[in-house]
Amino acid sequence: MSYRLYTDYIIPASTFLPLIVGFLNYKRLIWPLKIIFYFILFSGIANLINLILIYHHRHSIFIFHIYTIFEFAFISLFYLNLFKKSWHKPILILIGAFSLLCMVNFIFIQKGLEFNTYTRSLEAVMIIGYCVAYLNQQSIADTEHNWGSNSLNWINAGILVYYSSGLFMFIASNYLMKHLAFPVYIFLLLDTFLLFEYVLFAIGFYKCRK
Amino acid sequence: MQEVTDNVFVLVVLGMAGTFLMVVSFILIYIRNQNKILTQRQQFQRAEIAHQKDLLQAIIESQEAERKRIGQDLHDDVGTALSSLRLTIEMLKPQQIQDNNDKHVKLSKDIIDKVIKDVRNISHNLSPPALSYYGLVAAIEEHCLVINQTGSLEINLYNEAQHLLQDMALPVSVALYRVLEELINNTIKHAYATKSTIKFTAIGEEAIIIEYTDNGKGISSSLINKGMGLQNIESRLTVINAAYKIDTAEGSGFKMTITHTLNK
Repeated sequence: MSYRLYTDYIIPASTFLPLIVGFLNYKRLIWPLKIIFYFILFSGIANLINLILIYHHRHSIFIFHIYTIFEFAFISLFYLNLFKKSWHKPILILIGAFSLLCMVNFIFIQKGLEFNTYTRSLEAVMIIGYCVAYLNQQSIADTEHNWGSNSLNWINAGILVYYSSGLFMFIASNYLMKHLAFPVYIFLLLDTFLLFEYVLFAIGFYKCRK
Repeated sequence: MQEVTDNVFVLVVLGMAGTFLMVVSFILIYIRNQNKILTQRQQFQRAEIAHQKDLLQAIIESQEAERKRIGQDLHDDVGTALSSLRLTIEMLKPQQIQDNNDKHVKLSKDIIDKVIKDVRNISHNLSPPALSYYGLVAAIEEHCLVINQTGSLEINLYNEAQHLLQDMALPVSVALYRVLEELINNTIKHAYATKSTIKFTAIGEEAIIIEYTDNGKGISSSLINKGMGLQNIESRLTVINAAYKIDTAEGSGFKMTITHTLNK
């Protein structure tokens, strides 16, 4: 089916777009952008493992539980480098607390047999909070430069679009999987948002040249 | 209880699509507002710069007008009074051949002659008549002649842009004259130079380049202080939209290149 071409090949391959642009501009990348670069690399590897397990008809939902811990850590570290020093300690505490929550959810609550809807949704809400805080900070701090010339703005926009658009999906994943005949089309939409995010990341890495 | 018949798939898709559109719209509106603020800030800065330039021009023009008035008053009033005084003293005749007063009369006439000469020089320096009547090159030539006669500095003038200089507007001529005057003064006061050169070159019919060089002790580029002299030069060149470049180093003399685009 054509959707398999899209979900199994095109979307995973789209990971290469920001990775290639990031690699070519690696020397010019500032530390927060390098965090995002490694995050994309990690995401690509996790997605590859997921596809291999699916291909071999193995259970792969547990990967999302583990992936969520690292996803939140990467993105939190990215914003930690953008916010004032007074935010550093709370963010580090948040990373620790959320990781613990994910493990509790994996072991006791959703037990790795179904999507981690509680933790992923909570993660999405917190990440949206980071994005809005960054926008607020930039609206006050940066009025001297064109919005598009700042690579961090593109990264933030990509993160905000993906996690806010995907929030409904994160919330309803288990319900959709159990109650719908063809839930795959939902994943098509989410994958499209992911592609959009990767394009914005690639633009952000490219803007480092200037 | 009535069964819920909503299609959850449709609801979730609508929710995701709606959120996507809302977030993208929010970001686009945010970008537009930020760019609008940036544009307004840039416009304000440009207006501020233009206003500062207008103020500077007004200050320089009023300064020149004042100099001209004082120069003319010195020449017309003080100069005339001194000349009258000299004539009056000339009319004093000694009673006897060996009258001691003759020496005092001669001394008085010498002092008056010196004062008349000094007043004339001050009047000309304040507002050179040649600048208004004959243009920039004539005024500079006159100034260079005076300097050369003192023997403190030899100034050579090369003019390859007469056709452009003769039509130059008076405010521009005055600004360039003052700049060259300041450069010559700096050479005499600080550079310990023996020779300097002023060269006028035309770039087609559009622009003129003025090169001023001296063979003095030069100065390290990092040590060029923005003293009153250089600030004055910078102000005058900014008002007439001329660009300048300084080339100097210790032991290598001094060179300033001024480029001015003529308004047609």
